[in-house]
Amino acid sequence: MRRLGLLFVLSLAAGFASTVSVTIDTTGLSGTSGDLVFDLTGGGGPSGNTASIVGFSTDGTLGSASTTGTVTGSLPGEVDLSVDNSSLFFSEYLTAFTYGTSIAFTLSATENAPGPVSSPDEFALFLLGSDGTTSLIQTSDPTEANSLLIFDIDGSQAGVSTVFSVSDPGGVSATATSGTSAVPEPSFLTLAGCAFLIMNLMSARRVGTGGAQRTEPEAALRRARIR
Amino acid sequence: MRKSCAQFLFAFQFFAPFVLCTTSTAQSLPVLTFTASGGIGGAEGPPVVGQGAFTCYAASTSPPAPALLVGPLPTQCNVQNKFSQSATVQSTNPALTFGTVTGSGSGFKLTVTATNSGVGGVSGGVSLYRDNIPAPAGATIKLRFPGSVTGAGQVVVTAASDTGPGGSLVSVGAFITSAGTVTLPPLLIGKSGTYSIAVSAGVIANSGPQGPASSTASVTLGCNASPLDPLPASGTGGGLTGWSYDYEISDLRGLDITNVALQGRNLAAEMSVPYFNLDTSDFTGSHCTLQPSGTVGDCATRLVDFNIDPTAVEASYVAGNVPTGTSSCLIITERFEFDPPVPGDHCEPSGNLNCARFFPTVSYTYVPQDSTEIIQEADLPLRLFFTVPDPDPKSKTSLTSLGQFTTLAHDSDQTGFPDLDLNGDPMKTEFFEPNAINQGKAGDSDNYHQTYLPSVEGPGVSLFPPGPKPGCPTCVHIHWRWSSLFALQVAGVPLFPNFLDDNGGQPRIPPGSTQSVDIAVTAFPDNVEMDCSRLATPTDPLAGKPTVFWYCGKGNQDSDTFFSHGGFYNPPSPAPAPEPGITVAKSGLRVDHATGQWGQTVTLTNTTASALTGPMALVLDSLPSSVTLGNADGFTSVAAPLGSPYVLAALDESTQLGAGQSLTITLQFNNPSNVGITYSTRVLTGGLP
Repeated sequence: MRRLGLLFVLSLAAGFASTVSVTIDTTGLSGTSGDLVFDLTGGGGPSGNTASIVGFSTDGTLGSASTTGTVTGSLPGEVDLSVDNSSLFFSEYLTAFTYGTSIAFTLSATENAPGPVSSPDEFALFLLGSDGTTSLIQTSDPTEANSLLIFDIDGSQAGVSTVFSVSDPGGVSATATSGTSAVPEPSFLTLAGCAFLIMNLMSARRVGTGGAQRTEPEAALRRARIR
Repeated sequence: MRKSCAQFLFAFQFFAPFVLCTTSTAQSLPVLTFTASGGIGGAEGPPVVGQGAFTCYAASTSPPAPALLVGPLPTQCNVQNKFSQSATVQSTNPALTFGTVTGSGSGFKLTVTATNSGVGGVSGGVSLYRDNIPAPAGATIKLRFPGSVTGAGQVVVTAASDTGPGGSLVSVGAFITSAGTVTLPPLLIGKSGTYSIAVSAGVIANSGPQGPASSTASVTLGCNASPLDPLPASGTGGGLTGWSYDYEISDLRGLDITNVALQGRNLAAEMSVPYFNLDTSDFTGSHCTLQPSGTVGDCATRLVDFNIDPTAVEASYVAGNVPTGTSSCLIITERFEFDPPVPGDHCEPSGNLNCARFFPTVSYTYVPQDSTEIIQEADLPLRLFFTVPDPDPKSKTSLTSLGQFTTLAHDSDQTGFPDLDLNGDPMKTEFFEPNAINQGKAGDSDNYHQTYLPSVEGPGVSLFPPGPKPGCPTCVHIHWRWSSLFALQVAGVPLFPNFLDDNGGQPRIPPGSTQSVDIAVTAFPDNVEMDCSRLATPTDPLAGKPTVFWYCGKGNQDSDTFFSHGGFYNPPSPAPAPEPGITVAKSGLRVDHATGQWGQTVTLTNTTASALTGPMALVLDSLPSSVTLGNADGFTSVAAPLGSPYVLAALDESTQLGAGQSLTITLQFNNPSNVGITYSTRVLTGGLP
């Protein structure tokens, strides 16, 4: 039963194909109080997606947070935002924040492709004032929403990340570096699944023995997922 | 007897491409019997070269049209009662002669047009003969040739009366390059009180297609002209020109034109002259109105002439009692002319806007009893209630509640582009500009534009292909002056050889006129009881409201014409076609936390092997019912499914999306229910969807 649970975790992990390392220079906003806003907007595709913020670090000061939609966790720990594109199209994590000079985190997202008439699900990052509406920065975002960073989940392995330049104030910029997926490739996952299945069957034959042998691959898979 | 055929021949023989002559028997009005004949080419005119077609049109000017008996016309124009027919000219110098046309009526008009089918040049032109016209002393005759002269042309006007030597025949020739006015010198009228005119316009086509030629003559009438009885019935005009409108001789507003549309695209709810003022050395009349049969009181008016033809409707009024006890009068003619679109017509410098011209003009002639009476000012405002419709079927509303946006602008003589919007773009509040034309000279503004879109798009420069592109394709355009840039020549070569309306950068008013024009732009309903200068309240909002444009002419000469520059408008676009060679890539959606709108970019890529030109529209079908496209340029009204919002790509007829090139369109959605924003797309080219 425990191994079946591992297989379920593995199947979830198989959807995480994109990671983006984000670093933000907020020197131009240092000392400013506002809101840090992470949005995930569904594009109406047949399957939803989840975007995870992990490894968050900053020399700024986090405040209280509020959420919309399906959001789990809180910064600086892992935060997961999900949309299902059937009843939920928008999830948001908004946290009060006093800006320091830098922010860094890794964005990891599942990669369910949009349908033929839908748009890709999109993760977007905003640096807003304390009113939660006014942007602290003017960016080159063509929609004039003044997002700093967007990540479109278009079904490709890497997704499409876009960083907009900041025209005002100075001293604010971001970089986004797509990383090679740290999660197992599907072929490996298939093999691993088969191995687990075999191991499960074998363990069923050796009832009451070999418990310590089962813990090693489970831990490895968990590490792989987190990476 | 009236002048004979021989006398007209004498007047025309020097250049007229064809000749129309007449003999008629003088008799009392209104019945006239007449015989007319004419021809093109042969011994009666210069040769016809190349291939072409010419059309005869004949009609009586007195409704109901009397029967016109047609002579034998086996291969030439088969003139019948109010009809037109074309014949092909295939040889050089044929002798094509009209047959004899006889009939009866109070007047007769024969128009001939010659058009070039594209092979070489055709010498052709227009001819008009009108007989038995009530004759004022000192009559003037004004002619317009709407968009018909390509390059250059000659016109001769001859008038004759039955008076004795010295005043019986006058003739004027002129060289015209565009719609022009030819004025005859005073004609001494004889005992009959009538005279005849004949017009011949020879058009020498340079090359390429030549627009349809037609001519009409308006004749100012005498102070003693009798009121029309019965009054002309209301009706519908336009016909084959693509325009349509309703006309009526109103009780107080003169000739009233309503529901003006070009190929179904509405232009104006109403055009009229609500009042006039006259100030002379011995008379002051304020807010007089054009009544069809007024007789009592200062400036009492009566309708004395009414004409309608395929391109125009015209009414003339005589205002007497100016002052009471004298025979002085003010003769006012309203003429609403609507010309069909002419391919290649450069209504604006780029020549890239399909357009049709219209001329809602008002003219006056002051006829004093003696030379001691001097005109000081005649005010004749044109009230033009433009109603430029939003093609969005969801925005259907009555004409008098259409939201409109306007500009009153000045064009730079250095760049040719607008360099000043007098009251913003769009004008936020009502506005009055005195002396937009000032004593015949340029004032602060040059043009007026009105559209249903929230701002007036100015002209620009296209890079592919290089050159200017027109401003505001959706607008009604009124230009009383163009930048002098468009008259520039380099080494004798015009920079804009096909643009003929520049007038050297001077106001486009009749030659020698010292007129002034005030402009008032007001929200509807406006108070027509007010004089022009008091119509606009500067604090009253205007943008987005139904809007009335007042063009208030002020003349200080014995005669003048206002709005002779006309305006232009573009007909509805042809139905666009889907462009399968365009791929559409959507970005994700994100919310603008400040506005609550949801934004997205869409990238269009030309995957064909050739460049594509605009207009190009991205249509969004099947949006959720609670979602609207906030930055839609319109809604499909031609290409089904209808009612879908669309956004126009930044392409027009003069710009291209090259093979393999992409462009990006930004979409802004209103999504108050926060539902998923899904839609399918169509990319349509070749017209507004």
